[in-house]
Amino acid sequence: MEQSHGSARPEPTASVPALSEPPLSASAPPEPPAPVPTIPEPAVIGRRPMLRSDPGGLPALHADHPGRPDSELDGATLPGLVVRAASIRGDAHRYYGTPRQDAMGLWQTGEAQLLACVADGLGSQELSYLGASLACTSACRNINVFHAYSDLQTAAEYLIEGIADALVRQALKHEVPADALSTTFLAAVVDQDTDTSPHRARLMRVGDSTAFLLHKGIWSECFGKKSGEETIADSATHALPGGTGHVEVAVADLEAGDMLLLCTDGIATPLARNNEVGDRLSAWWSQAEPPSLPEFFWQSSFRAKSYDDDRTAICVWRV
Amino acid sequence: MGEQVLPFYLVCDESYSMQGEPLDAINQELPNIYHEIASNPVVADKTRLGIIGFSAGAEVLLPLADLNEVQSLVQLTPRGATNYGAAFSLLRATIEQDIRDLKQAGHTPFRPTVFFLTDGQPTDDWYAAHQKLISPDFRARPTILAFGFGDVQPATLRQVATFRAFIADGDLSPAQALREFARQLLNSVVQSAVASASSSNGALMAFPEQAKGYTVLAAEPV
Repeated sequence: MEQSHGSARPEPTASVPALSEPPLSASAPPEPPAPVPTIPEPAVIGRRPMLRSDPGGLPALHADHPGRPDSELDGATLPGLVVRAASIRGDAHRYYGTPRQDAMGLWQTGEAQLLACVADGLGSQELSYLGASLACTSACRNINVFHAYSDLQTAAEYLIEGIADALVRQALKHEVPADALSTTFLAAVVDQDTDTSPHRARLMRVGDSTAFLLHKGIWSECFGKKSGEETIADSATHALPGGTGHVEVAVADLEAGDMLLLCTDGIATPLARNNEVGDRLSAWWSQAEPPSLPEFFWQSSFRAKSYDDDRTAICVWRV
Repeated sequence: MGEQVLPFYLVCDESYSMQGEPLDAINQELPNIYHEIASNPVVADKTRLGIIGFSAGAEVLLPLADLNEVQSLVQLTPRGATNYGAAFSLLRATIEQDIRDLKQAGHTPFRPTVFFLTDGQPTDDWYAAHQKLISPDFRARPTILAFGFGDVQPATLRQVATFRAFIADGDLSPAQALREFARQLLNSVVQSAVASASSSNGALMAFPEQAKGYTVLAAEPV
């Protein structure tokens, strides 16, 4: 249905004599035009960035790759779970016309389980966006390997080895070194509705993409920090396919009202370093109802000065 | 506020020998440096520049600043001797205060980078002040890149630098040497900001590997 947008209606012609009866319909006052909704700009948290939040040049892509849109949006309503997922090109990549190197995926697997994946291609490797995409799709293809093992660490290692193999094969096919497809990888296998609460999420990762639990408005890290052997700086730099020796696992139990966030460092870094960002995301994502898809995309597009990396967030609410 | 900040300091010799061509050249380059940093939004959002001049003493000419908030341009002026110690003492105190201020404001500062430029040998005993600046006990100790032309000795530059030093080749005019220095500073600021966008931990520094008209020297401890 057309909106009038407040534009002028055409003037009636003056050829009809004023004495004639006006049509009955003219006696009722016309409906006022419905107000046009104003869509707000993305929220600015802190000082206004100089860097605009605007898609720039279209990225030059590898001949075999079908395309790399600026953003991806996904979601689902499953028994006991509501999911919202967004992967958004960083403002620096937009400015330089380079591709989004983050990727994500959501699948229903097995009997009643959700598989959610995020991946962050290494900034310095031009083709890493291929690696990130492939890591996610490969996890879905090989998920049965994961289910074959009851020990979480073992199951995760087998699944991730399979992903690494897929990356190596792809690199060979493109005649590039395996490193060229370097990517982090993080996945969660979440139980859908069970008769008992809570819903268990089994998490696995290589690299610095990470998971948080939002419980009663408070963020907590799902992967504990290792003490001793590995410094924080070391664990941040692992990636597939080379980093199969650095698989970490964790478990998170979602009570009613809890939310599990899987994200790349484009979200994790400002969440950790900027209190306002943490507070704002907590406020948005602790409402009685999870946001709609457009609302979630708007929320995930917040702007914070100096944080211009690709960002990917998958939010899983236990409802 | 919680921003990620890459701090850069330009530490420039203002001794009498820099008078004329050398300081004129750098003063001509400064507006371009300001403009390039301020007008590139990827860079402007996360880098800050401070300028210290040294001669017989040392002075903060530009306190560490977001270049979009700076009204006036710094001009370097020739003054006196070549007191490295004063420069290093002031630099240490300045960095310490700047990092503290940034943290207090809720920001995340990364390790500062110093571009040091001189045309002559120091006229003082500077080792102690330098040690304090680069000591592992100083948490915010900077990465120092040292550039030299004129009468400065390669060995001196290698001791000043913590990462790499550059000595101008004999056939490079002071103006050319200065312009190349400015270019390397700008390139490092811009490339660091760009690389940091998609790096883990938020900072990936880009330091010059070569400079046109300069010979590269490895840094060497004092």
